[in-house]
Amino acid sequence: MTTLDELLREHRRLTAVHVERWVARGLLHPAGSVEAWSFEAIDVARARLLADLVDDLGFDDDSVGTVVDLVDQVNTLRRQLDLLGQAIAGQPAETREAIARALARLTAKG
Amino acid sequence: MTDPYSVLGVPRTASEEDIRKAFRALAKKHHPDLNPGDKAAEAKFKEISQANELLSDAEKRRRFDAGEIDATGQEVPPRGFYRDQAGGYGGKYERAGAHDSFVDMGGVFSEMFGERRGYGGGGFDMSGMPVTYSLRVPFLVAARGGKQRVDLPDGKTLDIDIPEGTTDGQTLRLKGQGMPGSQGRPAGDAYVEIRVEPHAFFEARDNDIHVELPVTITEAALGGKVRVPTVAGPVMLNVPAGSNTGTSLRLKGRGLLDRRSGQRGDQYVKLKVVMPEQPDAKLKEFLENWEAGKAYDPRQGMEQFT
Repeated sequence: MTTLDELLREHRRLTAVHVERWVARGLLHPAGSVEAWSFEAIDVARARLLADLVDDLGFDDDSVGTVVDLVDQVNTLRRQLDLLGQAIAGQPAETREAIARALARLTAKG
Repeated sequence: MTDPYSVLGVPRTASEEDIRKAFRALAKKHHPDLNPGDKAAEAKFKEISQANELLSDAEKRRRFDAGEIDATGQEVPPRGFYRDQAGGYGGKYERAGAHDSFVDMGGVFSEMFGERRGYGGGGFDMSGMPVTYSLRVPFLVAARGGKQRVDLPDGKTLDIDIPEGTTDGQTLRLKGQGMPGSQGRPAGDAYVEIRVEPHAFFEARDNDIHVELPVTITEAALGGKVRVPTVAGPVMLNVPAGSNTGTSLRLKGRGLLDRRSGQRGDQYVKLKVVMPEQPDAKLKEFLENWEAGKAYDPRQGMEQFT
């Protein structure tokens, strides 16, 4: 667990203003209350992503929310697809082949 | 490391603003979190970040230009990206509603999972995934059958057997030519979707071939044997005397092989009467004196519709 102070010390590009704004806009969900936020590893990584998007990539405050939202959607879809892949992988060979054939047909149609 | 100017694609005379713009454009394209499935994006992003770090710092850039430091500068420690967290899928930032979205996605996922969610954990010990390719095949190769060479995306070259009578949209299965399997399991199959290219004059409808055949006035009027191309080579066709443009003749069994029934379709030949390219004096003279030619009206049938 990381506190806000530690986070800002570790990543000099981040400012308290940034972090507070992102939390307020629901882009970052640290645990704990306002005075004593605690950031998990995933929150820290997400804060760095937000900083990348704003500083390096030049997205403004409004569009950064959209970008992160899309990133979340892609990740969610990838996770579901991975689960689907695992479920298919657990099927007997004939079932997997039938699915592959159906996919081939649908891909061709598209 | 490569030259930072060429990494960012800017000239050595580029302004600070040029460099910033170039870096932003490349960073937007290659940021690993915007390319979650692409392993190469991370290396590329690191490269452009390093180039930017060097060139966006006026002092470092001056020293690099003067040859005082090389392009590596300081090696940045691996930083890790958001996509590396929580199994790469965003963990608690997963989209709201995602937990029942197997149902949201048109019931497809929920149906596939059904009661089988606990499939026993054997998931990764799997045969290779199938791969789908699309292949364009010349009309006659599909009709007659033959070999077609393809270059696969992974660099392999394959000679694919195209069976006689392959139709547009048909899928061929190549056993073991898909993705390699894990843990010694067999490779997946490749599925090749066939696209039959159109032919200059053969047209396939179901298993029949339709072709328009130009004939001379003499052949149409007097009849006779003419050579007709078919997918299996030319054959002689008997044109009856008194044929006309639009007369349709059938060559039985000269169509495409129906792979299901083993039967062959037919070839339909539609005649088209063609005048000689050069006007012929004798023909002209004959027509001028041909009384019956002035008496018939081929457009008569159109009257009732206008």
